[in-house]
Amino acid sequence: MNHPVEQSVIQLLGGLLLLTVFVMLSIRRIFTMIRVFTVQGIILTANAVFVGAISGEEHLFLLAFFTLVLKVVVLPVLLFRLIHRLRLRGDVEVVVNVPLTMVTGILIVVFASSLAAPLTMMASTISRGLIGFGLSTVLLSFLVILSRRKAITQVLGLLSLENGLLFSAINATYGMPMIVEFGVALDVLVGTLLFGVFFFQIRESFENLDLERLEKTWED
Amino acid sequence: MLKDGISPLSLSLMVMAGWTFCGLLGYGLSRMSGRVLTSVFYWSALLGLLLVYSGIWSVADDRNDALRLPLGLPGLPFHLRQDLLSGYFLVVLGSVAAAVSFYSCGFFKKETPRRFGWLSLWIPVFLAAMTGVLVADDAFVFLLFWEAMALVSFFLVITDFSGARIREAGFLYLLLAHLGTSLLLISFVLLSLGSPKSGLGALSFDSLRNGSLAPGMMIAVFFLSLAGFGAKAGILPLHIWLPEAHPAAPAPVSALMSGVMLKMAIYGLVRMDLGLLGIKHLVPVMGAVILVLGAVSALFGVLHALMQHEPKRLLAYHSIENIGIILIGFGLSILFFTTHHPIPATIALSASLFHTLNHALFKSLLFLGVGSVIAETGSHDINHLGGLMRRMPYTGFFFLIGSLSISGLPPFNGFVSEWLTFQSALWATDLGETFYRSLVVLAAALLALASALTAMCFVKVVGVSFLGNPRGPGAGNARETGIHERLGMGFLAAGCIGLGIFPVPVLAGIDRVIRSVIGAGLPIPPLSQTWLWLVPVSPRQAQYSPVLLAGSFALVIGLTWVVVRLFSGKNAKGVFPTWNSGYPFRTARMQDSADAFGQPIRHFFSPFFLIDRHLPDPSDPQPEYRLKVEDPHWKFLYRPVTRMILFLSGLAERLRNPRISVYLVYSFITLFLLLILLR
Repeated sequence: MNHPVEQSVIQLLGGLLLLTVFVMLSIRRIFTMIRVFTVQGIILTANAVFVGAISGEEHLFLLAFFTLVLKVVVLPVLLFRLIHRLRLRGDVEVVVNVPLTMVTGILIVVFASSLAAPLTMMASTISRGLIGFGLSTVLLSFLVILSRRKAITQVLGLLSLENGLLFSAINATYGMPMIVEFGVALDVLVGTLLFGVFFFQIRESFENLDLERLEKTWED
Repeated sequence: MLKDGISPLSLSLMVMAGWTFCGLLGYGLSRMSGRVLTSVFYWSALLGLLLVYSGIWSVADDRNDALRLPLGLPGLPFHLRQDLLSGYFLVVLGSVAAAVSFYSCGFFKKETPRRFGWLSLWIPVFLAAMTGVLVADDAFVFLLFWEAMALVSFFLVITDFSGARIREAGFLYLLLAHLGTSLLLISFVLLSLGSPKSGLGALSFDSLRNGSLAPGMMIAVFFLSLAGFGAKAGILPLHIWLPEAHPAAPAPVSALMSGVMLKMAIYGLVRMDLGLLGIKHLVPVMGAVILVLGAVSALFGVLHALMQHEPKRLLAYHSIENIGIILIGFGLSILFFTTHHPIPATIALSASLFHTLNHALFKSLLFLGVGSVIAETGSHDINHLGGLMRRMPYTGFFFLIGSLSISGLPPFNGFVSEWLTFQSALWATDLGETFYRSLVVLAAALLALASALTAMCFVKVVGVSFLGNPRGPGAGNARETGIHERLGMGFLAAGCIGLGIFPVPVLAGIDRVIRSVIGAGLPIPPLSQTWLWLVPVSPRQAQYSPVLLAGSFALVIGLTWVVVRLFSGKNAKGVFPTWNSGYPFRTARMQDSADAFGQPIRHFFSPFFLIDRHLPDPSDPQPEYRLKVEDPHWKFLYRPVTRMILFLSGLAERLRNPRISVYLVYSFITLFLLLILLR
């Protein structure tokens, strides 16, 4: 463990990731949310590169490359185009009770850290201290999905959740087997494309992306 | 010969690949050209014969070839192996596949290109999947091909998916197939707990074979796999899909499903119980359970078959009966092996395996014959048939041979296997416990009853549909089927006669198979045979010479013919309308109907049926006679289960809420609780 600088950088990255999710929780503009998601992708890439450099696991570099391509370039571009075509530019979403969600978020971080403690003991990786951050990201992203009303922001929450999973995997076991990573990456890509189609369908049928109308139809 | 660079296993794999290619080719060509290209089935038939060769090669040369393909899950490459047991079942598969494919060349000529494309894709792929089941050597590959087989046969069952009844039959079949597969999955995983390797490698058959499990676990594995394979084979409470699915599918498909696919379940049982669990871990109770299930299935199947007037449904019930007979043999062998009586055990097992082959031959022959009859007359009810023996002499003759074989009459093949089963049941007196002794005797009695009733049932089928006078215009205008159909059926009929007259070489092969499965640890008596006499134990106890019997039959019939010709000249032959019975006039409706044949049985065995009968009043000017016989399992087992599931899902329905966020909260809370619980 003779990499004090790199270790602190990795710690910093974990902190930044957590911060981005909190930003996601409080933010109102969909456009900004996609940017935050892009930042998450950059953090993940950097994390994979640093962990790879310290541990010498070469496949992490490959993983970093794929993360960069998929999460920093392809998905944001897809989402921006989607927003453009749905004419949601500058759309503002009503988020209920930001302070309350923030406090809940803090409680969740505490819970996740205590949950990750035994895992941290077991893991043998150099960056094992960050498992708690990854887990918090997963649970907080869930909270993002819960607190949003619009389909597209919920999908962003889901993507952020996947980021948290990837972050935990990298730090707990130096990443999942490559084949699993590929599968998940493909799922995310296909999922986003499909969601795009759904958005159009939803809007066509309900003239709005707000899911409350959809729910009203179900009630009938 | 080619034998230098090629093994039986690689030959089988080539056949598999060939079948898959055939399917794709047939589909692609018929869809692109818009024509029906039946020549694909010639290749399919040829591949079937190659598979027979591969299987015989394995059995004759004591080959045990294994192969690992670098495919599949990480840590678990595809293990493939063709040993003697696989080889024997490959012979069963290949011979039926060849005959059915050849039959299909002619039978599917009149199809639309769309329907033909569907059939020519799935039938060869179905055959390839079954080959895969037989050469699998780890649980993953086995279940993969097992599931492929189930799915492909589901597609074949719903070929005419525009009919609601056919879709329902397909759904029922799919449901039970999946239920069975999930039970099998559980049993394989339980079995792998005791295997010496860890991880996915524990699922290879080699490590499953060398595992050691607690006795309780063994019993769990045994019963789970029995239920899992039983759902596919149609053992009693899980048989309900058979009478629905077989009539739904086209005749060659029913022939393959009943003739071969059910045998895959028998293969699975033998592989699981004797190969993987190992004979030394079994206990007599297991044999007794299989014996009872087999005997009950046999009796129940034949009783319900007697009630049917739809020929395919009738044959489906006979499949249940014959699976029961195979299981009686298998159960007897386990019972005798576990009580250390290797001689009757070996006889019972060879009877069971031989009956597997026999049933495959005669049942697919019968299905093909019925298929031709239905195609020519357009009627699914034998009460509308009659007089077909004169109009379709070849089909009638082959069907008669199949009927005689399934009825267990000498010198046909069904007799040999049933006789061997009885021979082993005669050893019941050697069993220590009175309970088992009486069980074996009872099962043998039920077997005798079932085969007598089978004969009665086929007297009914042949009598009503092939003899007498036509009861409807369809039967009156029927023509003989084409040359391909006749050759396909002829091949199977020749098999029935050939195996009946010369069973000894086949039994010698089965003997080698049993030796390879049981291992050298047990003293197995040499089934020392000459080509003339079949002697299970010793000539003093029992022997049977099919050749002499067939010879004397031929002699008696020939002599009678000569005597009649010599002494009475041509005057003895008077030509009268069939079954005139001295009435001044008669109509076709005065002949016995299929239901009339079944009436006494319906009366005697009424507890086995749910009968809904409506008798008209004598003074009724428009009399209506209605009779519906239903399987009691529906009322007493399946409908209550369905109601319970509906009730439970009704309870779960209360949790349903139209708001998405509520669902999200549900999953969030679940995640939270699980994390807290499992931390």
